[in-house]
Amino acid sequence: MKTNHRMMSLSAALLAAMAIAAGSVIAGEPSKGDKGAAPAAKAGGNEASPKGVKIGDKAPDFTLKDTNGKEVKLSSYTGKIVVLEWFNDDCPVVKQAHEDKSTMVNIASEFAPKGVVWIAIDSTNTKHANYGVNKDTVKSWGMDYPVLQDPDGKVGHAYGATNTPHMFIIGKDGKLAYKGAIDNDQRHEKPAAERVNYVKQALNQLTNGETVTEPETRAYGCTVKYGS
Amino acid sequence: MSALRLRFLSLCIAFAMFALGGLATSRANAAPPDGNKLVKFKLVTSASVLAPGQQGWLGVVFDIEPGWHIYWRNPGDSGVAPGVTFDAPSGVTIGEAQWPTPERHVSEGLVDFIYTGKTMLLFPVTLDSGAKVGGSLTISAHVSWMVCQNVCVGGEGDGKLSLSIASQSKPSPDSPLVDRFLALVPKPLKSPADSVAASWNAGALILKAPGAQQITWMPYEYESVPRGPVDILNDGVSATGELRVPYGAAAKEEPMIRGVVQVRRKDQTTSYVVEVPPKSS
Repeated sequence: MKTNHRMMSLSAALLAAMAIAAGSVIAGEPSKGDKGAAPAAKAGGNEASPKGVKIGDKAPDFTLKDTNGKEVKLSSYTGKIVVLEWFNDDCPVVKQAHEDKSTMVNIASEFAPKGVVWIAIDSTNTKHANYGVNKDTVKSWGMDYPVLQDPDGKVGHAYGATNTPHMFIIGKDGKLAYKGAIDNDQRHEKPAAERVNYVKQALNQLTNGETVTEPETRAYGCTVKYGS
Repeated sequence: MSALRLRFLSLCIAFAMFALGGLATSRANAAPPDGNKLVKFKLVTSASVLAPGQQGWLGVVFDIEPGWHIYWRNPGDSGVAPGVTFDAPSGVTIGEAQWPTPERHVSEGLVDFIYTGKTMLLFPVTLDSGAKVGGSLTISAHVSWMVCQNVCVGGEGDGKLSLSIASQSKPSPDSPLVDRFLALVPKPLKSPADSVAASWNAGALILKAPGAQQITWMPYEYESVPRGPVDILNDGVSATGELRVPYGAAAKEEPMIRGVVQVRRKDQTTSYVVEVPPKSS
């Protein structure tokens, strides 16, 4: 399924073959990362509060690499509104948000002319079955914004990202202005009149210089696949 | 070393690399789990024959692969509740889903409300009193779900069932199964008859069940964080007969705080639907 997984596996096989040639022993990797992490490691090693950044707090800076190896530094967008979308292209809820009505890409392109920067972040740990971003998928979803790799989950924990998708909006002042769900319709059953896209609502308010009226909603979706 | 042996050796290495590559590829490329195989569903009904004006039950039975789970109406910190949409002819009224009490499941500091094994969503179905006796009707449903273990996958499908209309209702062979799951749907709390009391005090929901070994609070779905419980991980369960669940500052704007309380007394566990207006008393 995952093209780049295949590439990685082939390189791994090559490395393995080289290791055999060098007389090394290859042991099976225990899959301890698969079943979930020990919470103690998370709580202890986290500078931010266990729940992550709060509304009105300064958004933690980070530098992460995108799928092409290019570094992206949050503070290089100082003065702009930045949307962070926690991402995992294998999560059915992420798929839905990208495939059903191209929700993410449509909002990103609607607000790009107003100077809004959109960044996806994947905090899946390297041992998880969902690890890796399928470039073909990202392309087929029309995502022309970067997907940053956060395999050790540092950035995810600093923000308190718990779900995919989990949405964060940073205001022009560098402070967190929104945290939560993409919309209020997780079962996709609400009539159009009752449907609220929280991210769109917050971006409309922020780009008009208004206060975000619903700054903290409950994210829904898969868990972020953090490692230990 | 002869040229032939060298060629043989390089062939062997090439083969080993190919084999290893194949192994590694198949591991990483193992097809993602199929949500339609991990969860099987079927539509059942309490009555194969329904009389005009009578109410029966439609059930969506989910059979879930061991080790995997699907979600309650409020999935909790992750997950998505299953969705069921019916297509029924006129003269048939299908009511709101009734959800059996779920299990509270904690993993990596996140609280989810889940179903494992087998569960059923139940929907009251009523025939118009003017429905024509002697006919039959077909109800179809589209069912979708998210099923998770270490990874999550989606699944969906369509089902349908027929009901005959006669002057006298008749139970279907699935009626005992429907009854079994109806018994797991929490009933509205009636204090003091149920020996459980729910009240609101100083921004918190207070649940009291004297003599209980455990009280668990499972709030219905909510969207605004400041309107929900502050910390369902630490405040959602008590090991005594009293549970205090602090709510966010905006909870008082809600007309009613709703959810299910589960009370364990010795070897008996009972659940009730609780509705409390968030006004300090």
